[in-house]
Amino acid sequence: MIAAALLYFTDILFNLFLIYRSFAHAPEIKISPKKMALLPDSYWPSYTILCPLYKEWQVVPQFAKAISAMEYPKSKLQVLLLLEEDDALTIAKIKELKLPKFFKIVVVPHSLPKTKPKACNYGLKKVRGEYTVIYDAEDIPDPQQLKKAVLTFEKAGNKIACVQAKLNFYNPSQNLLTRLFTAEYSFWFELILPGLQSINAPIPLGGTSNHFRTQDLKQLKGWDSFNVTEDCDLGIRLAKLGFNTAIIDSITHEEANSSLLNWYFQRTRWIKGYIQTYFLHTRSDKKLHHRRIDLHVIFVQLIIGGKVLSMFINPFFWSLTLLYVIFREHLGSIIDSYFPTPILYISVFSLFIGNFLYIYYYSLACVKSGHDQLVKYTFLIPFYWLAISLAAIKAVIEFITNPHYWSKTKHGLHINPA
Amino acid sequence: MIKNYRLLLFGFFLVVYTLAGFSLAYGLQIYHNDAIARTALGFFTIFGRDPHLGAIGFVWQPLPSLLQLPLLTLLRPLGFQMLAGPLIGAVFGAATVVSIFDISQLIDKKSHTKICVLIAALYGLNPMTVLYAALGSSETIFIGSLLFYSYFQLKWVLKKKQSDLVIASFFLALSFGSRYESVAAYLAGIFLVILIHVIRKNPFHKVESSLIQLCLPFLYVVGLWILANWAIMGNPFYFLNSPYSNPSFTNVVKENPAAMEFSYYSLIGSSMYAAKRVTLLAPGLFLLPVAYLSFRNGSPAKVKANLSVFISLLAPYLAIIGFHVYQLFKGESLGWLRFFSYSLVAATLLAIYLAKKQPRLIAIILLLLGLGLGSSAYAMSNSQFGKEENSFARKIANPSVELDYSRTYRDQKAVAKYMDRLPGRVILDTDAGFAIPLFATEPSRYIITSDIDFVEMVQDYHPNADWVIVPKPNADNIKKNIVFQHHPDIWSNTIHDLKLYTEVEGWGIFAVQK
Repeated sequence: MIAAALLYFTDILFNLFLIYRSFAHAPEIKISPKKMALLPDSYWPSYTILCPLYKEWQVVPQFAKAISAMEYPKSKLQVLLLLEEDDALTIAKIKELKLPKFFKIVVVPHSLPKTKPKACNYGLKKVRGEYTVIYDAEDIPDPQQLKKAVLTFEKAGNKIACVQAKLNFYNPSQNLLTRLFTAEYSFWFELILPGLQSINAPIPLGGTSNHFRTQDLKQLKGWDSFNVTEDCDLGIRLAKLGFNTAIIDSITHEEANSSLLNWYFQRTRWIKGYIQTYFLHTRSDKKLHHRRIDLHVIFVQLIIGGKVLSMFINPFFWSLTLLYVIFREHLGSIIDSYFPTPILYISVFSLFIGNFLYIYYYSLACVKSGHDQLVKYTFLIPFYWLAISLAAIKAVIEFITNPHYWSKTKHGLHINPA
Repeated sequence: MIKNYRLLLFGFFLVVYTLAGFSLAYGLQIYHNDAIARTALGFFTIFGRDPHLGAIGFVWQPLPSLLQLPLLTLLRPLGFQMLAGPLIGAVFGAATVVSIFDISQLIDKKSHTKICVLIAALYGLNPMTVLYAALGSSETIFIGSLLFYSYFQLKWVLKKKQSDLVIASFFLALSFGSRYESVAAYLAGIFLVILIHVIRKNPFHKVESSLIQLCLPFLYVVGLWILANWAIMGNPFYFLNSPYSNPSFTNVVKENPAAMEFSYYSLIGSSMYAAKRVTLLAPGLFLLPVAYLSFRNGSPAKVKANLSVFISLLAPYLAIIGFHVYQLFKGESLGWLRFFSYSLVAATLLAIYLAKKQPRLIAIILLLLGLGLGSSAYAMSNSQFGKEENSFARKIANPSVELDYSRTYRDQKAVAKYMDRLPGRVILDTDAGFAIPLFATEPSRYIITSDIDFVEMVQDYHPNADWVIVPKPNADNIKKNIVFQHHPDIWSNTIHDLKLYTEVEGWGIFAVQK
């Protein structure tokens, strides 16, 4: 009980610190549009876009349109659509589409594990661009994002191995779930990740819009094909090798999951991946110790471990509080005995101030990301946390029974909501 | 050439207020009810028989006591616990002066910096500011929180960064932690946010999100306060309707109409009462029409920008004065002079604004602020206006004078020193004698009102206590004192196992017969 209370309290303080940093230092790298406009087409290096796809051919026209709209010399672009061999329908449908010439289809041979990182690793062998980025098929990136990423790499130097664009959604107002999901994404990409960047902490990458120097990526041997949050794992691996990740002030809009069940399975996979990554990187800490002594180990504990554990601690403490209020006569003294005075004060602080601060952070993030209309919905965030905690329970079970199973998220629900 | 005016102002006023506070607390032994009560509440939290945070009390806002906790821990072993309040007052007072200067820099960094330093210093040297900072009163902490709020709200108005509004909202919430008048500043804040968005022609969802962000921390703190009252006292509005609340104090005054020199329930009477005090404390407010004229001319955009700054600066403080007039009108205010000290802040901010916008008026501005020092001193020393301050002024002028305020605490100190000689546990309702444990050598042997089992101890004193101490009964304490409630005959000396041992300075020391 004491450990849980202290961990939760530390998590609150750590997040407060990150949010303070994200406001006080505005660590996102900003590239002036003027500067980009001055540079001729010949200046820009070759760029490869990897887009793994599985049974989501409906969103490909939207993707092709978004990529075609990017302000980058098309002669320097290589877009690899990574399709699975057993997904005959998608292969057929995409072949029917009139895609620009710089789009190429790569069919990934059927093998296990059947995961996105495995497809990306297969695609990596065919990359010919100096830089590589991953986009999901439903993404609509900022048209200037590739140029911003190139200039960020140049500006930040060799220490930066990855540039992460901010992610947000283009369908925030579709239903209540998408509203809350957008608030959560805004919180993560507008407040937490910039805060982490400001202290050079390991950054759990988002699943899309991660830009790399291809050479670095190949040296890193790509992604872990068995990890179901390969993005998070890669972010930690980069930190282990002494690289930093930069966040750029450029947004990729994605599709917010609008179906509760679909969201639940997606979230289960994410949490399972976080658990995998946590165990993977805490059992082999030697490199972390070697590079940045204990600070990075603490960050991994807080960012990955703390995030996952709080999903379990939150409902547990809420339930305990509820039990205390309802059954105080019968259970009061038993519950009291687990909370020595300092721990009681810390726990009360976490309950009343911590939970309030988190709700308030979500509202800040909504404003920062331009979603002012969502601020009023952040009052419902505790219910969203509860749903996350339910997904976390399933994630733990799956982590034990079926650790490498990739539950594919359905996309295109915004096109045909029914 | 002085480069860091902020440091200079802070350092100078910290020293001035600390020295003044030390002189009042340990030289003249002058304490202010409001300040010493909050020190006592913090003291019970740490050094009481039953140390717990709830002992901080649920009638008066807890921030002043909370801020004093670390200082009390450090100062008590040195015997300087009475300095905790004045030290917090000194820090907030000095920070308040710096905030006024910061606000001037926000309006315009380049022009008339030295004049703004002088204006800030004149605020800091005003006898009202010095006295209440030195006493460690909640007003100083409140004004400090409000000025931090004003700074960030003005920054939001000028720079349009949402993060500034967020910080402002937390300072506004913090201000509720020291005084209830913050509600008026909060309402003024809502008005200002709406006005700014209307001026900027922003869409509704922008207004909505800004209002939520401004209001949420304040409302949450109010909610927590109500929850704490309910959870600990069993009454969510204990702070409003308990025998210890402000309205109950004003009821005592209402029962004695002769004590009121102003007219309750009369808008004109209440307004006149306020106007006299505002005029004496802040003659600089006469410049309000000049300020209005100064931004009336110009392009519509400039007029709107000036109006935004002007309202942002003055609205919270004028709203609080309006709140006090309303309280007087309702008959729920004691009308202390310090309730109108917010006019001094408004006048100072107005002076800052005019010094930047109408520099040719600087001489008049300084003259009026200088005049304010004298007129404030006059109001404070005149018993008609400064009912509390007048007694302090007389004591400062002649330390041998015995006055009600100092006498009360002298009596309680005498009781504490007497009790130090008598071993055993002591029951005391701290409503009337909250300073007794504060002066005691061993406060943990006092069974006091904030102890969770206090009522049980009072009812069943025989096995639990050796002494019970109560003041002489009067119309007020006979209803409130928990000992009187359970043992109304105590002073008749007819309770077989509770006999009057002796009387010390109007207090009865009753021995429990074992």
